[in-house]
Amino acid sequence: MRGMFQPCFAIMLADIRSALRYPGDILSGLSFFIMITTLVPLGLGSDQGELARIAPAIIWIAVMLASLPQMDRLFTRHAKNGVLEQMLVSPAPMAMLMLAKILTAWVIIILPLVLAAPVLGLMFGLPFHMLAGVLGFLAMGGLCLVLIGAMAAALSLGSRQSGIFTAIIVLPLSMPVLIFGVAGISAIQTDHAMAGASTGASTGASTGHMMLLGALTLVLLVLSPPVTAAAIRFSEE
Amino acid sequence: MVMSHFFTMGGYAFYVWSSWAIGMAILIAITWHSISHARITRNELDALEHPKQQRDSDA
Amino acid sequence: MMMFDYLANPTRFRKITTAILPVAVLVSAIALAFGLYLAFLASPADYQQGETVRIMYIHVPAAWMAMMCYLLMALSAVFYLVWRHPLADIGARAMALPGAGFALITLLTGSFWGRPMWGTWWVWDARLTSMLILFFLYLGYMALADGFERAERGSKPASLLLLVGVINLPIIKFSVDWWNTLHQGSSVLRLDGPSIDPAMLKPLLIMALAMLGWFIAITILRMNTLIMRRRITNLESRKSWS
Repeated sequence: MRGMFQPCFAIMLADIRSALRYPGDILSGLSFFIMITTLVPLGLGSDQGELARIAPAIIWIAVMLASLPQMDRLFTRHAKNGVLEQMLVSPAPMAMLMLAKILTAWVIIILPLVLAAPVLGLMFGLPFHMLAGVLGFLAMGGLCLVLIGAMAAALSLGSRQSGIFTAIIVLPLSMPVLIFGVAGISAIQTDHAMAGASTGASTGASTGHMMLLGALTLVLLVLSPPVTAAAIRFSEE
Repeated sequence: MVMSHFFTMGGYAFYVWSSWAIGMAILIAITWHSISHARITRNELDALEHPKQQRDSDA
Repeated sequence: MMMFDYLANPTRFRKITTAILPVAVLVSAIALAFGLYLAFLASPADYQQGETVRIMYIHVPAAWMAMMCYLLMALSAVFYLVWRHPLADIGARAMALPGAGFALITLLTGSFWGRPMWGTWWVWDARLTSMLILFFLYLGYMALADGFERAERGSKPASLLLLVGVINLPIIKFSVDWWNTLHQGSSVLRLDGPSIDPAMLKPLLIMALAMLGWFIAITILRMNTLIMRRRITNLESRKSWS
């Protein structure tokens, strides 16, 4: 067992270490995220009620766009320095290594955006007591995005315009994430409005949305690692 | 009377005829693209497989 | 599988397909002539939608074809990935453009139908949105299949993408349906009435037959072109090595 998990931990550790060594990648993703969301009120006007209504959609679309360029580069460095080849010959199953890589990518790419989201939420007039629920949806949906992004990045690895191809593959497939994610955050808003914002706990409609998003995450957790592994294998043939 | 009704489509002529025109245009464009590609490729392959004959026929 | 083995021989494939091609063209032409007659002259106007119902006879068969074509491509992808048969890959590549064409026809004619009936060119209706996503999947497949320096390098990733798409399409359809019930305005007129009149079903089926014949003929033509293209690549690489 140890022999199987050790390479996974090694990959996670190496990825986190290199992300910390070059914090510019994380910071540029983060600033891109904040800039997209900043542009919307400037273009739309600063009516608080209107902004609060569209805030879930804006935050989700910003997360999708800001994570795209980083996900596209998920495997490029590993492909160049031969790490992917080593992964293929390692005793651990490739799909499991890919799962490790995806979970690490979630920490590196999505987590900073999720942590920045509360600030943006406040700017968009989302009340403070809703933020826990919003974070939950972003974290769960973000995992879906990384699972889809890893497949797309692996499929377009080595192509002429991998960046655009990744986007073309990711965006249609992540439509359900957008739908459930936005609906979930909107439901938190209506839940709170109905509960009179007296208690902090979010009940009702948003739980249903969370279950749907969770089901989608489970499907992708089963689907994405083997597909990513197979695509990597094709690229190394 | 019948003819004019056929062309005006009960006032919806623009929508009905545009749809059919666009649909047919797309099908014809794909057909033309496929045929021209087939022709170009066949010529290219012939030139590669029978280079001498090609030269003879040119001369 | 047997069929693929049997057709594996390129000369045999050529022989069989050149026999099928004229039949498909003939069937398509006759069905088109008959279908046009039925659609425009021999079928009644709808009591609700008037003459615009004649758009249905190109819109609905195109939608059927767009979906069928994607399923066929996904099936070819399975054959290609499991049995590594190049002909399956060539088939999927050949079907992509006509499939995307059918999806585009569905979207555009739907738009021209929606304008007089719903009062708008585009409605974020579940089926419209799903068809748009299907069109995007076609574009993604074509981009990926032709996106590599060496043409055949794109075959496997693109086939894999087809399978991912086929698993995701029901999820996308479900999510859009579900989203639609949240946002649905009351103005939208449902397209599918309780039951369809036989006088309208017949032209639908005949037009579908015409499109199927056209699709088979175009697929054969494009497959043969792709086979020739691979021969050219082989000959050229052999030449450059010698």
